[in-house]
Amino acid sequence: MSGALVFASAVAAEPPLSADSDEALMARVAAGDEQAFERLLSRHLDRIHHYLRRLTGHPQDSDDLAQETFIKVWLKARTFRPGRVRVTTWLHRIAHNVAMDHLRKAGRAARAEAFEPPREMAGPDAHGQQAQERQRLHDALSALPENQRSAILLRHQQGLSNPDAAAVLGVSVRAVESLLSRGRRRLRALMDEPVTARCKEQIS
Amino acid sequence: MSQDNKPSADRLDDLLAVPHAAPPALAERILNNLPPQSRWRRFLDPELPLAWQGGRWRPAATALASLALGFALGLGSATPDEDPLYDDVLVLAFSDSYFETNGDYFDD
Repeated sequence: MSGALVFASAVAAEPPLSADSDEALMARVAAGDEQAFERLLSRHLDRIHHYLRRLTGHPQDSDDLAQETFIKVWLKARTFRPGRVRVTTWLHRIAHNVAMDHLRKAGRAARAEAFEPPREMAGPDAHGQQAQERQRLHDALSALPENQRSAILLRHQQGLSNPDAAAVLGVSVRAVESLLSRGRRRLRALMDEPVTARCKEQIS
Repeated sequence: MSQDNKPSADRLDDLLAVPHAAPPALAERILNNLPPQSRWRRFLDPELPLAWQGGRWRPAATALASLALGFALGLGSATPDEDPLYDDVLVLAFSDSYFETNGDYFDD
């Protein structure tokens, strides 16, 4: 099949967009429509902020990075390619890249020091068993390498599929599966460790 | 820790996928700090159908633009009257054989 035919069939295969779909909003954002951007922001900010919060472990950083992410969305809206990638995946990819740049600049020592438990852990059942388990999981997550932590968060917190997580991380689907497998194994080991052993490890 | 508490995939979903809200003032802060979108970029990107935006026409347009620029520069800089070697270069470029090019040296 010639290139023109492939292109024509690809265009024809795209479903019609509803006026309120993410893709339609992105097209309006690309044309400079601030109301469309506001709608997109209200729809995705909580989710992107949650990802950044868990990835960086620091509330102030996650606020700043979420702002940087959405400003990039505003400025780069024209580079979004509908049909090739979903808006949520594209947003997560921008957020992930922004966070990785930040973490590289910040340095690992500063990051470990900065890790604070997320806000949802301080709820009314903060002393409950599940809250304690969340806290242990949070501690274990903070000890994971960034690529494993990202894969775990994208898959289990953000609910992305493996192909979408692969698109966000810029790796193959098999690589994501491998990251998830190693990440879960490492989490299990960290959560099984007695607290005292981990304290000693952190002190040393 | 019991076996049930170990982070299987389903357990991780339960533990990690909790509701989360960004700080209320953050959205407003982002909206208040939006920089203006580039006007020349908007001028270069006409209102194409959505499927075309940011898509396949860009590489072709880039190639055509650089080709046109090359032609423009080439036409602008072609000044054969000022270049004493221009005729020689033409002969070298379009001649069919070595003897045709270097015939002068063999004509006595």
